[in-house]
Order: sequence, then C-alpha cells, then structure tokens
Amino acid sequence: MKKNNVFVLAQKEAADHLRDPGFLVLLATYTAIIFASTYMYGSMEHQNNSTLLSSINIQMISRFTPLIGIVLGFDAVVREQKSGSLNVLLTHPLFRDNILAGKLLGSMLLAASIIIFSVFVSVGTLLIFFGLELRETDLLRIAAFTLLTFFYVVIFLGIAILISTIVKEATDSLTYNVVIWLFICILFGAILKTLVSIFTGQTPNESVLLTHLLNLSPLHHYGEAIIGRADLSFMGVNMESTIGGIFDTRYSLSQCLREFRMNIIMLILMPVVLFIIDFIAFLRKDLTL
Amino acid sequence: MNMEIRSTELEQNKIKPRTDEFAIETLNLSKSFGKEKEIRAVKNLNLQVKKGEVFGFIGPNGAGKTTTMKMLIGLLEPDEGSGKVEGFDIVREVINIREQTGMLPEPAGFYDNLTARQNLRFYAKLYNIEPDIREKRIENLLETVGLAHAIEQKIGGFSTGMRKRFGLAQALINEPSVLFLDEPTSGIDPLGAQRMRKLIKDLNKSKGVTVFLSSHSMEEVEEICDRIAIISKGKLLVIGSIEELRDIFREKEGIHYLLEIQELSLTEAAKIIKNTEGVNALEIQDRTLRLHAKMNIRTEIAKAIKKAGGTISMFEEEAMNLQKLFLKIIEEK
Repeated sequence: MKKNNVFVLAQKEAADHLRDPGFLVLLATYTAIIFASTYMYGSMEHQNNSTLLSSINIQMISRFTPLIGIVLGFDAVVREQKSGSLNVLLTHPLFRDNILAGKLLGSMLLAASIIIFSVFVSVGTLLIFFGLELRETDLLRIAAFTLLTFFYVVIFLGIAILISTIVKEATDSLTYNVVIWLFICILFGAILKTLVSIFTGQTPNESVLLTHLLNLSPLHHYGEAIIGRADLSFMGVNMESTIGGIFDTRYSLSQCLREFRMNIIMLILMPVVLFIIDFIAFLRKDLTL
Repeated sequence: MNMEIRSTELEQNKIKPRTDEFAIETLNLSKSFGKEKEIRAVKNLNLQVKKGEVFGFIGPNGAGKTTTMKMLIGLLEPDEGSGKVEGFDIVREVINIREQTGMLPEPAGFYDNLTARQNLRFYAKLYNIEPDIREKRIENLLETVGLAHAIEQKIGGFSTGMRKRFGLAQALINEPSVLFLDEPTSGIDPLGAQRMRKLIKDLNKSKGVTVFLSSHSMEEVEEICDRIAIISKGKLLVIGSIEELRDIFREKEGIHYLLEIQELSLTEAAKIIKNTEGVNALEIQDRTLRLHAKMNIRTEIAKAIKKAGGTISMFEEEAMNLQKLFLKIIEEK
C-alpha cells in the first residue's frame, strides 16, 4: 500500500465533502437538530436538577448520528464509478486498496470532526443556557462517549461503503442505506420484541432469545455502553436503564468500561469486520468501465 | 504470398528477446471473461511497439483493444502470456508501469466539482511531485493542450473537446515515456479532433513519447501512426506500417495505376500498355488511363511509352486508404 497516496486520497475525499453544498446543508441541519434537542432535553432535565452528563440527549444522538456515516459513504464508490473518474484514477500509480483506504480514512476523519463538533455543541448548549457544571471527571466520560459515538457512526459508514460498492446507482445506495438506518435505529427493537413474543410466547423482559438477538444491533451495544441496559422499543434507545453506562457517575469510568466491555468490543469489531468485507467487495469488483 | 502467411510472419517471427528497442512487448497475451472463461477477449497476442513510435491499435467494437490496453497498464490481469511496458512486467510491476506511462481511457471522467488546476494538482500529488515543479507543470500542460484560459474553471463546465484535451493533460502529468490513448478523439468535432491529432503528433516529435493509440477513425490512424495493428475477435490479424499492409494487398490483388501521357493519343498508349506483361485490365477515363497490374510494372510501362515516343506526365498508384485496407482485412479474416 502506498501510504502517501492513501493520505492524498483521504485529503481529497474529506475536501470533496466539505465542498459539497448538499453535505454542508445536511451538516447544518444535523447541528441544528443536536442544538435544539439538547436545549429541549436540557431544559427538562434542568428542572429535575440533573447533571450535565445526564442532560445529553442520547436518544437523539443515537438516532440521527448514524446519518453522518451514511451521508459520507453512500456514494463513495458508485459516484466515482458512474462518472468515470475511477477509470482515470486507476491509471495512476496506486493500488486498488489505496483507493478504498483513502476513502475510508477521509470519511472517518470527517466523521470524527463532526462528532467532536456535535459534542461541543451539546455540551456548550448545556453550559451556556443552563449553567450546568462541567467536572473534571466528566471530561473523560465525554471523551469516551465521543469515541464510542465515533465507532457507532463508523459502523454505518462501513455499511454505506459496502452498499456503494455493490449497487450501480447512487440513488439505490441511498435508499438501501436509509432503509437499513430505519431498521436498525428505529424499528429493530420493536420488530424483534413483537416477533419473539409471537413465536415464543414470552414477554420481552424474560426472553433470553431476545437478548441474544439484540446483540446483532449496533444501537443496542452503543446504547448499553453509554446509558446502561437499554429498552430498545419503538423509536430506538429509551432512557429506562437499570444499570448505568459510562455516564453513570455512581461508578468510576474504568468500572463502567469493564462492565460494558463486551458492548465496547462489539462496537470496535463491527466496523473492522465491515471494513474487511468492504475491501473484499471492492477488490473483487470490476471497477473499470 | 497470401495475407495469412504474411501476417503470421509479421505477428510471430519477429518476437525477439527483450531489448531497449521496444516500449511495449507482449507474448501470447490472452484474456477471457465469463464464469467459465467462455468469452475470449484477447487470444495469444504478440506485439512489439518500438520506442518513440506512434502505434495504432485498431479493430471493430469488441475486438479486444481496450482489454489489451487495460492489461498493459495493469488494470486487468492476463489469463495467459506475458507483457512488458518499458521493461516492466505487466503483472508484477504495475506501479512502475503507471509511474512511467500516462493513459487517457474511454470513458474518462474527472472531478467536475474541481477546477482544471485542482484536478491536475490531485493527480500530480499521486506522483509526489514537488509543489513548485507541480504548479509550473500544471500551467505548462494546460498551455500545451490549449486550456490555459480555463485553468481556474471547473471541469463540470468543460465541453467534450475540452474534456478530451484535459484528459491528455492529466495523462501527461508525470511526463510519461509511453502514452496510452483509448479513442482520444471520439465524440469531438472535426476541428477538435484535428487539434487533438496535432497535439499527439507534436508530443511524439518534441518529447519522443511512445504513443499507443486505439481509434475507430481510420483517417486519424493513417495521419498520425507510424505502424498499426489490426485486431478482431481478440486475434491479431496484421501488424506493420500502412505501406507494409498495402504491400500485402498489392501482392494479393495487384495494383491500380493512373497515367497521363503526352505526345501520344490515349488509344495508342492504351494499345502499347495492354501489350505489356502483367497488365490485367485497362480503361480510358477522360484524359487518363487507369490500369490494373498484377505487380509493380512501372519501369516496364515507362520504357514502352518512351520507346513509342510518348512522355508520361502523371503516373500514380491508386493507393488503398486505411479504411479500405481495414475493411478488406476484416472481411477476409
């Protein structure tokens, strides 16, 4: 792999997104959603004398942040192939895996920047409008939260790039990605609970099968790691945890990380596996026109 | 000698061990597609392209031209056979080949949201070209291809002709010694095509760049190529200069001559020529005699006319253009 060319491609990928007016509009919308939802949630929590960490609107973040990964990746390969620019790019001195590595790296850097920015917006909103206290220990928990959110988003980036490699049209890729997002982030828990109830006759709370099946969802692992055992009913993560996640200040951060290590491992493993599949699909595909 | 034997000689017998003489060499290069490799795109292709020549690679649609080019630049791996570009193996040394070559593929897409300068800057970075050298080179290249005025314009606004010329500039960003051009003038108007041809010729002359060009325009190939290869259904049919290809047909089908004669009536001249050995047919067309001979009998005719007191004011061979040669070769094979 030619490292220099991977960075050149990554730089271009990130710059392309930042030059794209559509992407900037989506970014602005996302920031507005984060700000508004944090403000609304914060004002509710403020009345209950909550801490800064418990005032971060995880439900909104877990639902909408995956869209960053989708927007960054849904047309990454198919757009270049359709336009013929991949045809030209491949005639220059780089390996095929350089191209995908560059795209992934560029998108990941941009995703990281956006997540960090959105965390700043969330925390900033709570600090400025509600005067909540930011303790030193909170900083580490916020850093861990940012990192886990990054892995969570990168899972959707991996899925988006995979679909972009397989399909022939960018619009198809967007449709499939949105369907997957809806399924994972909005409907998965509800569908699963319903199916388990119908087929096993058990209530969701007593079903071991449901617990196993929930492990397939990145949202489940993300939700558990951040806020503890989550209730994944309709509309995604609900804040009815019984065991706190990394935001549970009753325990030290290291205790929380140990408690939810399996969720964290899954959040790291899922993108790695997806990236491997992405590379295999990309290297096997006839990319020339 | 029939064409089959001649072309076989040209294809097979000239294969020599690698020397510095050749920019491109292939030996029994083959490529098939399909689940069971049932579609043979290229079959046992043997080519040698000399350094510094403009080599035309022509054939009907689906003949295997683009597949061959893709194999030569390492975009496709051959199933059998081998090849070298500038001495580098087309399977094991792909990156070295791409460092040494430039290619304008068909179709060629660029980054429409970027300006001409930004596009070329991106490609230049892939070669690690120093920034100051890179910027100068970008300006020079765009000047060369006549796009200096559009350096800060987005590619998305370029016409087809401008895009083709830009494509040539991107292929030259690394100052290649071999240039692969896949139908460089397709889709552009005659004026644009002429401009492109001139650019290719100038590049070849001024910088000694070896050009490997595929085209459907026989006029273009005839105008700029030193040698050509005709390929059909993945198989090389003939290879050589256009004059060499004409020779094949001269030997096979004879030669047509046009003559204008002074100091003798056309009827008298016709009688004399008809009696010359080797003349197959003769007809009078206005003030010209058109004759068909089995072989080159220029000297014999000139002698006979001179002996009869006539003077030849025009004696031309009706040379077969590449279009006709191409069609005949394809039909025969």
